[in-house]
Amino acid sequence: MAAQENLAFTAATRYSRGVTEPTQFVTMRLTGSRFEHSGMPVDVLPELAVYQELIVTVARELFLRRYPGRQRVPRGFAESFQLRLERVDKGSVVPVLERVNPDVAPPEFDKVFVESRDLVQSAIIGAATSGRLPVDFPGNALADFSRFGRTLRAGEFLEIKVPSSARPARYSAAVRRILMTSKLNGYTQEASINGLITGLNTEQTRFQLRVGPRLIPCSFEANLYETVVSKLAPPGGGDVVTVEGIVAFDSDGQPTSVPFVSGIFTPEDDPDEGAPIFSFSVTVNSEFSEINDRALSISAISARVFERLTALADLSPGWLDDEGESISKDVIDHVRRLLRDLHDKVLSEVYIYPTLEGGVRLEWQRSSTEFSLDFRPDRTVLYDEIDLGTGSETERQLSFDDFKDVRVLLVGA
Amino acid sequence: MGSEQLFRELGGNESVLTEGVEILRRQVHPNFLDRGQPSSQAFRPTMKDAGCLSTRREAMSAKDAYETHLAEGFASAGTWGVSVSAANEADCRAVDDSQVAGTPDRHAYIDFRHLSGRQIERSAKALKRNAIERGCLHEGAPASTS
Repeated sequence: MAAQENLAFTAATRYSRGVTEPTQFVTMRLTGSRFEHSGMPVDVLPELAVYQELIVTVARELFLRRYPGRQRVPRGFAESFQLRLERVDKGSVVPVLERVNPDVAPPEFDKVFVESRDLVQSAIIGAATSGRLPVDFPGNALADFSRFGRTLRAGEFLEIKVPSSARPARYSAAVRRILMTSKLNGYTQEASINGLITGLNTEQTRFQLRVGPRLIPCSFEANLYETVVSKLAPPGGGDVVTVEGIVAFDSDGQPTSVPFVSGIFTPEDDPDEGAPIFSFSVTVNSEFSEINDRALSISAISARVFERLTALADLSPGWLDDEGESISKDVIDHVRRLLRDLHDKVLSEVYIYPTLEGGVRLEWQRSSTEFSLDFRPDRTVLYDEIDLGTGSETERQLSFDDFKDVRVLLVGA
Repeated sequence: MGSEQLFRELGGNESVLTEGVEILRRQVHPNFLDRGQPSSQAFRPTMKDAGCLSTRREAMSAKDAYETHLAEGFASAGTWGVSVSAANEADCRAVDDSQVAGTPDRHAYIDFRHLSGRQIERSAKALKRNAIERGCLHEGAPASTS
């Protein structure tokens, strides 16, 4: 059977056929303060190339599944798929990518590339909305996600639209992190780390950063040599510095190395605007509170929480089988503020849901007691606590203004 | 819970389920699922349910209940189970209405019609707890782009 399929495929490669897939392959909308001005920042351009590679990786797996007798894809498979930046539309930044000469590729290729695109779309939506990947998503393609979205900063996201679906996928650093932590052994991320420079290897242009008990090797370019030397900590002391660059993390989200250092700062240096995506402030002393406030400190758990809230904000009216109001942005923003800075242990116990009335509900449980907090569009908050063992109940009506009280209920319950 | 209830009168061809160990099949909408845990909202009737929380009898497998639900045009993240005794302990009752004309095969509902808003909240939380202690009986397909 496999041999017949291979033969059929070989024949097909010799005869070009027309394709039905529209030339426009994908549209991405880049959202964030960097993209509010006209033009597209050049440092984001690599994302488009990585996206193309991601589609090819997934397509290769799909092709081999379809033709199980094959060990590798046909010659020219990857090369037949090339995206071109057709134009950049207005409205944040909207790069429109088209296939280059799609009609010269055999139809088998086309179909697989389109399937690949749709599967990538499903993976992103799945990760963003439920933290789950499609069962048929190839595990080896997750490695490509470690490179896709690496330049995205806090608050930025890519909205990806494909012609085959009306539903866009929202790809942010948080979604990327969910994908990374799901199966991979490690990943890299544009980030910053606070620590002490306690060693320097000039031959390898590498310095050693002490972050708590960990020693993290950091590779830098020669132009940073003077800076590294000036920040080198003397024995038993020294100033904490913030190292920015491409950081490698292990599967637990802990930094293991910095393969590329883009800058080294102390509070006096006033690093340029634009908070890094993740900040690991392991060795912090009080005088560095300012720099840490500027950075967005976020863990995998909080990233998932905020991504969940983002997904709820995207719900259209009728999200519950034609029932359900769209979720109030005011409520989303309020809950986001409420949950910000909460300890991971608390966040990991809280489950977040939309409500039919357009609000957000938090639910959690301890022992035999079920708790809920309803945040309503009219800015009221309903706290409910029921001990299913004893039958005792507590209900409290609060408002958005009772921020601290609500937080105490959430943390202290 | 467990207080005496004033249930509405049943319609013709409806019957109260009495086998407490029977596990009713309940579908959970994907938006009411976070990190694999359903909301208590998935275990309370919405406006269109008119106080009757829709389920399928145990005679229908969890997988069939899920697939039937999708075939009827509704979304589901999977099938969870609630026992008849749990429904009773939550001050509700389970009613078989599969013999009523126009009702889907092996359909049953958990009756909330006699409860007030506060009582509904309490019962829904009890049913949710019963369901999550049992775990998902049939997991649905992951999110799609459609």
